[in-house]
Amino acid sequence: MESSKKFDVLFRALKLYNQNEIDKCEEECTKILQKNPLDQAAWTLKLSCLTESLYIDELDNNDVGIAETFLEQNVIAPNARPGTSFNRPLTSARGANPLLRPTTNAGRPLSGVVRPMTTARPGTMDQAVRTSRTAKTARAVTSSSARFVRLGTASMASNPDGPFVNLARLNIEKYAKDAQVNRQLFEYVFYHEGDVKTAHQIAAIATKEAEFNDWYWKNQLGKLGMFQDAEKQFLSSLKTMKMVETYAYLAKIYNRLDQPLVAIKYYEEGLESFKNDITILTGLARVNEQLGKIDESIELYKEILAVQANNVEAIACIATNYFYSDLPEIALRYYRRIMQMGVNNAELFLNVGLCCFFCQQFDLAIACIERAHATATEDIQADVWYNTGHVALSIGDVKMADRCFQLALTADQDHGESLCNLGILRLREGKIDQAKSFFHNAKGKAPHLFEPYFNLAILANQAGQYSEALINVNKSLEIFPEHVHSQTLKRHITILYTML
Amino acid sequence: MSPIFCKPKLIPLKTITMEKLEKMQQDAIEKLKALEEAEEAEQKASKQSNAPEDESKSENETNIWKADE
Repeated sequence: MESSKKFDVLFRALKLYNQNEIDKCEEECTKILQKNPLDQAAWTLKLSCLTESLYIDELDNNDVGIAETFLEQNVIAPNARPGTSFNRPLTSARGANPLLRPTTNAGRPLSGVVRPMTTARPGTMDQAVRTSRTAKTARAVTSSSARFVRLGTASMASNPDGPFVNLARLNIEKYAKDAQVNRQLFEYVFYHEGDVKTAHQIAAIATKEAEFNDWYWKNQLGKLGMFQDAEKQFLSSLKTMKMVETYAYLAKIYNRLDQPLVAIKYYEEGLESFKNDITILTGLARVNEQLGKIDESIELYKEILAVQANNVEAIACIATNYFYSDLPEIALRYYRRIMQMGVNNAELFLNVGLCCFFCQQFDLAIACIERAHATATEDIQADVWYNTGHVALSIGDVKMADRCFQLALTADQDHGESLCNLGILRLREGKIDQAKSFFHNAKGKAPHLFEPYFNLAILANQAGQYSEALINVNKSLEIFPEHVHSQTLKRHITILYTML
Repeated sequence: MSPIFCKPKLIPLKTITMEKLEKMQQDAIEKLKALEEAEEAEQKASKQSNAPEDESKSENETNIWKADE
């Protein structure tokens, strides 16, 4: 510190910014600005500092709120054929068997990672409001995207005396034309203030000032959420300069418009110019996974690992796939690799615990699960207890399993899987009415599960209520058309009907 | 035919962006809370300092129900 005192203040601030000491850098800038409020260099540096604290990679930020889902105006083909829309993934694809691999609330096979990206299966709004966010990739009831966080709260929270820049009084025309300042100003307005209108104004003036030759401004104009205009901007940006992010943004637009095949086309075009690029490969793998093409997705993730061996998302997705392909010992190796890289959270410990348990390493399994319980945050509490219940069930400790499932329900009353399993435990005790009520509850809370429907169908069939059994078995087949036992049960009931 | 259990569920890990989003949200909430608490404390302090004055005022004010007496 002694030597750094000799530095020029602005140089020191820049040095701090380079070293990622954002708070200290901001303090330095404030000091400079107090001395000389017109110091543009310090002003832009402070803008960058403020942006940095709220910066989110827009490529990854794809959260769609409930209003956009149900009042969607941008979808091009509302009744798409299977495999051409996120809303109609290939349910029968290999590797996506719900009997082996659980599904998320959105009806997709469970993925290895959660991303801030949600595209739900068409359901009723009522259902969406009711189902909570336990299965991770399902949407939150209110939008929790970065843009939402930024709106209002961000500037207020960071600066109780009012915003750093008073946008209403700022001479936008003047600053947007200044190539030294406009990028920082734009990013501040877009990321920190969340003021898309002003951001658009700045970008429009700046791109004009750059004589439409700067890919950066075209990309920024594309990011602002106007899908039709965005495509033109991005294509034009590609003509000026080929950038990886431009291809990824183009694909993002089409993902948002629910046109995954076009998105895949753009990703592939991007791969032609940028072979083995991680951003593009990751995007492609995600789209394939969402479409239910698990095998293709895993191949892509393996390609990613060949290029970047420490990619957590790729490792986690491959591990999940191995686990549900009945190879927990290989999944364990992958999860162990993530652990070796220094990731240390409850989710990972629980996954390692489950892998250990299913490849018969019981001592390690229990230790890992205990560790997961010790560190679990509120949002995964229910899932941790649910899985612990499974372990107890496999050991044969039904009493403990029962309690674990109940604890899962305490943590999250909408945990459909726990309700369904509790129902079966009640059934074993001979309490048929209670079991039925649990199954009914489960199918209401988690309409993406076929198990409660099937179990209800069996119960109704045993009680001789064939019409109820038929309704439920049909529902079960609707969710999982290839389920052999449901098919058998349906055949059995239809024979009874035709006999009459 | 017997009822089927739901399967064990691996918990998806969070991507970096997801973690960052959650952290941002948490930070924003905490900052807002701190702000609100500070405001409340200020209000309380100002009320306490105002309180004795209020009492003296109310004595001086005309009570309309007793005005006739």
